Amino acid sequence: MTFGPWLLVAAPALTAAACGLGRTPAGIHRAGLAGSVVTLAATLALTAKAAATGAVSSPGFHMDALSAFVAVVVSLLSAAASASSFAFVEHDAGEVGFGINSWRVYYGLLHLFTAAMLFVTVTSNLGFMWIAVEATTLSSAFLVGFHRRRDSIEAAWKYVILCSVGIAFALLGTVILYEAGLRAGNGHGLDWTSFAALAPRMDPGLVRLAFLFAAIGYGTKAGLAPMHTWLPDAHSQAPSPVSALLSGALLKCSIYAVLRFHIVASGCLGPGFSSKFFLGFGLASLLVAVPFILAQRNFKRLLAYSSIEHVGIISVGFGFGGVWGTYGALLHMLNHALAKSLLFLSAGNISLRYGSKRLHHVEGALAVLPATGPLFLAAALALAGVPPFSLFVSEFMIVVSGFQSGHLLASVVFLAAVALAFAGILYHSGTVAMGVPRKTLAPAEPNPASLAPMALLLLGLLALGVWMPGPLDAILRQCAAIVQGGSHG
Amino acid sequence: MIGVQGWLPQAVSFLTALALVSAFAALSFRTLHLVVRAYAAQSVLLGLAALAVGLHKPAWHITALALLTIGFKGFGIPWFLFKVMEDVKIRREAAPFIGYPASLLGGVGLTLVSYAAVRPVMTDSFAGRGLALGLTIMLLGLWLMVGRKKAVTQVVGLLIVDNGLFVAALSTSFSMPMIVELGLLFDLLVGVTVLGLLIFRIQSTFASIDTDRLTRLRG
Repeated sequence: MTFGPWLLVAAPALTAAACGLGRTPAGIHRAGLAGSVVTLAATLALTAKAAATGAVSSPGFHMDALSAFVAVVVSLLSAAASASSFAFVEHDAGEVGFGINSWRVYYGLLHLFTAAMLFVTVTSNLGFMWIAVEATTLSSAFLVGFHRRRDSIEAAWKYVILCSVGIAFALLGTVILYEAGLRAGNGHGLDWTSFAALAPRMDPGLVRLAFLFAAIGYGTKAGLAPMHTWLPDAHSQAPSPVSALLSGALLKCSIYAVLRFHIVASGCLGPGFSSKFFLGFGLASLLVAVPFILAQRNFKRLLAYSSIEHVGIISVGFGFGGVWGTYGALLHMLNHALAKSLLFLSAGNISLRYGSKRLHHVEGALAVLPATGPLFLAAALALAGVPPFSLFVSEFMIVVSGFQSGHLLASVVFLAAVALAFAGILYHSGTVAMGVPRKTLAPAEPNPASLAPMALLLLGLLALGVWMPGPLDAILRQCAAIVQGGSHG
Repeated sequence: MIGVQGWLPQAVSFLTALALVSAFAALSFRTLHLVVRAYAAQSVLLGLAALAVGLHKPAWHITALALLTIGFKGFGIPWFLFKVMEDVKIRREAAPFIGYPASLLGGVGLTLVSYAAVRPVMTDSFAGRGLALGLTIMLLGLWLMVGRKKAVTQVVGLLIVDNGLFVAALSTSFSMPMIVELGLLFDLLVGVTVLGLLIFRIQSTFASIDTDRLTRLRG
């Protein structure tokens, strides 16, 4: 095995090209699916190698356990989204009437978007990381606006404008960090590997400023409140498989970018400074999201606000720190990715069948969609944090670490917010699943191709709730050590 | 700052100060065409500042970057924006949410804020001034985006934010790897194209490019 981490960018980029040149919808779909499976296989192979040897490197790329972990989340969800997309594109292409070009654009952009996200995770250069994060925005802009309805275009506009402005500040943070590195004798490099080693000798004032700008910038992209305002629009207007990727994978990539700065900042300033950032913005996100979850009328927006809540949970976990807080937050990144993508995919099937995203139009999904209905309900239970699903485990770890580390007030606020969100999610998803349908719809599945990937996602959620596989545990421990600055490269 | 001496700091300070003036000009102009021209002038000034750095060192890659900047940001992007404005036949007023005097006063306030934020941690005068000025121009671009209704003005605001970043990069004498700078420029061009296409779609679905019409998604 002689390929390097660059393959994780090249494979989806080639897939995108193949999809862009495809001749028939079915051919494009098959090419996309095959490409995403190859990407997933390559990610897993490289992850195994990185976990065994500490890191896989090639010029310009560096993949340690943390990169590998986030890359696995991205490739996994990209494969699931790719497998489930056909029915959604068919629906929208029929609505707009652009023929084969809708398929080329949709699948091409979907895989380009995947390539950009994987580039974020495997590049060793903070400048390229920024370029890749901006590329994720640009490649997904037309996916968000794919429906070409008024709401979708409004959402796409806000998405591009707000995220581009936000991450402009992340680039300023990168430039300031570069300046700090220059003064500490780093030469002309922008590699995070060298910054991590250099951290103790850098100017604390500059590093503080660099972290703040970078964290606010990438935090905008991660949907941390109060920079989250674009998120509910973009995530609710995108076609459902794209929403699954935006919520499940892209938010994690953005958190990953903040973590790279967090590692440098804690190396220079001690863990206290950047942890306070995570804690503050995490709690703010929880508090902002909960009222909107309780009072929501559109179920894709409900899921979007729940993403803000879960980004808040992850952020609070990193804020609490320690082995368990960090480990729990990392595990929660994976768990939320599985649960939220499953929910978006099943919610997409439901809205295809009902032709509406309004909560009061959509009732009785258990009867109307015999397979998607139960999957939706199970995913909602998992997302709310009901045992035996794995989100319960990670949330529990985070709370315990909060009390252990003496963050009493923050832990209580955290518990209260999670409990309220629990009530909101269960109430709304309960009516969607079990209410009485307003109009009589015959039981049918609008998107049978999505059922197998959805079942696998659910299986993952259940399995991780009761059993932690050895290799995953090993990787998570390595990641936690990296985030806490124990080791790198 | 490493390798900065002689006439260069004065030349760069002069040109970047003029760039600050053009950011204020963009805030005060009442027609979209003038706002775009203010951006074009600012880009050319910053390109010239980069050219001065490139010729002074001398470093061919900075010189090339400066010429690319003048070409793309000073002429290419403004041309594209004029073309978009012509094709969607927009009215010429910049249509403010915030009145012009208030927006200028706010701009002065933001300038003070960013100097106060950056100055204490910068011991080196050249890089310190550069970063403070860069942050100021970024905040002024942001302020322009907040204060105007037209989609095109918001794009110009975003471009001014990007120019602010350019000033910040300039203050480190562009010693960042060349390939990164090229990537940034490429991202900017793609971004402007994407936003231009979105403006066409907004125009065709909303029959207006006033962004205060974009308020259907709430709660």
